[in-house]
Amino acid sequence: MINLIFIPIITAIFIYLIKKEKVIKYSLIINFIEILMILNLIKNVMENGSIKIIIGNFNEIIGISMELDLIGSILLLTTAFLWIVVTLYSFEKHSKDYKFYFFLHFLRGTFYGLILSNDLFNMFIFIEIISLISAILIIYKRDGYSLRAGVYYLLFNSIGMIFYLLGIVIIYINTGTMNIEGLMTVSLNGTMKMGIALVIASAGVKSAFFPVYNWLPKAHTAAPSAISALLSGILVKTGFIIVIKIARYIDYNIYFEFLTVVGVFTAILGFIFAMSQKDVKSILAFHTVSQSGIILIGLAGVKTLQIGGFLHLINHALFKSLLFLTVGLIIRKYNIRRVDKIRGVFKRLPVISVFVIIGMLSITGFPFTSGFVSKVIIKNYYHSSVLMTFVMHILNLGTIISFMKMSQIFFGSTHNKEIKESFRENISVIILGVITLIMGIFEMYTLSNYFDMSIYVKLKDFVVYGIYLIISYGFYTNFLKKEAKIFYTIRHTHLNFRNANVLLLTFVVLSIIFI
Amino acid sequence: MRRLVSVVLVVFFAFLMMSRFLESGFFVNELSSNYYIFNSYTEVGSKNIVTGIYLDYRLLDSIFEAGILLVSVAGVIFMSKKDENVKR
Amino acid sequence: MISVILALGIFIIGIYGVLISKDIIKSLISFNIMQASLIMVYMDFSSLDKNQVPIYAEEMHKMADPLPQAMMLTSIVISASITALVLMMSIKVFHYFGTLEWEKIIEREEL
Repeated sequence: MINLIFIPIITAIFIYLIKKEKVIKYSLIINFIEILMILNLIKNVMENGSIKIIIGNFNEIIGISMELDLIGSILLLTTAFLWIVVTLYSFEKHSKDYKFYFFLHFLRGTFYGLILSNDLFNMFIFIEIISLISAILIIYKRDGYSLRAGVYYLLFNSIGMIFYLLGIVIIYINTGTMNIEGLMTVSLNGTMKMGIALVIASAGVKSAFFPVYNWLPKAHTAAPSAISALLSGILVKTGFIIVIKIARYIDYNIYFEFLTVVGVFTAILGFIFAMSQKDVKSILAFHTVSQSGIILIGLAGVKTLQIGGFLHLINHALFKSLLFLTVGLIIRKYNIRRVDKIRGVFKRLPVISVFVIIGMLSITGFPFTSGFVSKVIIKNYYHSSVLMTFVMHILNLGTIISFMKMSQIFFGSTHNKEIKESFRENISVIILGVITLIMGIFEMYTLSNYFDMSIYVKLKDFVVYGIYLIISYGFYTNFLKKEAKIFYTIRHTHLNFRNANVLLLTFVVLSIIFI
Repeated sequence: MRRLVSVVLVVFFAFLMMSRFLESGFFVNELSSNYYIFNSYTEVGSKNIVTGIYLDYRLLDSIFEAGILLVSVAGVIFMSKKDENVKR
Repeated sequence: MISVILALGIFIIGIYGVLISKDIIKSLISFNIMQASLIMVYMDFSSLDKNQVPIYAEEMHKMADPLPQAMMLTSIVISASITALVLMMSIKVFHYFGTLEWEKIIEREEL
């Protein structure tokens, strides 16, 4: 299990020393070897229960412990798969940059370490390395736009992680050990709750919760497309990994109401901002904020809700990276980024547009896709509460409206004769698209056979989806196309660094009061 | 206006932290500290307990601390290459 | 116990510095103040009323807690790496924009 952390790091060091292009291309084989190792570990976990080791075989009070259970192993598999797709995608353009691949492989190694680790300070080190390498990869193009996004991202996340350090010293003086299992052994008095609240607040900074999401649209729009896919897909979920690990050992009633409210606000604000953007990547980046809210509504509750939230985490990783990679290909060919200037994608690039449509259907929850499964689990839990059902309907409507705005790139035609497809560029997108397509049916099958939860697709779901389409088409033609004044104001509200930190401190204070 | 809001917020945060700390006292749990002090010389073999922790009990942290130095230096070298663009 | 309250006071000063600083370098200095004050908080909690150096001796009465001291060695290195990287990025930002203030960098962009 420790080999899984160190194999990518040693590969990265070899790539940095031997700078040839053939070595870079052959190092993709290492990814496949890792998938085989992870499948072996999954088989081991499903037979014997979760695997726990302590590095160096010391006592569990004082050693660094690592644990692998089913949730962690599914995360490992998704990470390895996404890295293969992104590496294949970036062979076209960055094939000779050995430094790019050094950072990419190193990042994968530390992310495996974060998923496996079970020790509070060890997780802090892994999260800081992830922030650092992500910041370097965001500013890879080194123009002004990416540099200011990178500085904002790195400074804001580092300030967020200082609150994490303050939280773990408070937990340490109460439990006496740095292991997360020490949370089980102590009763929760006021000081312990403050420590847990600080840790959850810093997890919120990493995963873009409601008041502290500002770094995300700037960073994900300015990054290169392959890195945007990786960031939005799996690296924004580090906060959720912290919440999942803590939620195993403490009672969920402490943070249930607070995190549900934060999740609802995040989801609604996400799509309101996404509707008013004009850059294609900004629309997708704000949707990451919105879907993070839905994942948070799922992960903050009982076990059924947690299964729904975790499934949405995995599904969102797959379809958001599919959307970012395909949109990256479109932007690379057209050289424009505005959604009202790109036209004629369906005629010129048919294969790519098919996969964009698959991604859009998944994110809006069309029946039989993966987004449908996870949203239906959350909706079924809250079927008795009128407010939450109303919120879920508004969320679906909002998502469909903004993707209807984005789908205007398909129609019309363009006069540029050089835009055509090639198979070599499309191959990574095809692999990812096929897996996303069958993921929904695969999840419905596994849930009903292994987990006792059956999801049925009824005719009512298709009718409801049709009603959503009609309402959102009406809203789109009447309000959005005419470019009302309110969307202009929403698009141009920018938050200063100082104001963003005021919101961060407000979030920390609110979480200490309410948890 | 912003300074007033900041001062109020910071004072409120300080007051909240102090009240939570003072209600339960500064009581430090000594579970791992006792284990380190009594068993470190026999298990690890070094008389300086902090060295024993830093290089034997928590070796993974030290490896990744060296790793973050490596990545930071590589990033600074990468960023400082001169490129031909002028402003924006 | 007084030392913990004083160290948390310096942390509060650091947070106030982040909230009102107008350019990148001042935010970075305030971030370093926050990190340094956290190092002091850890050291104070490791030696609240026990102040013998944690080196093996014959009689051990009231030895200081060695674990936060080892953690802070790593944390100092991490904070130094982040500071180095942000400084390098701000040199590049100055080349491109001519100024280092937050208001002028994050400006409105009609894209």
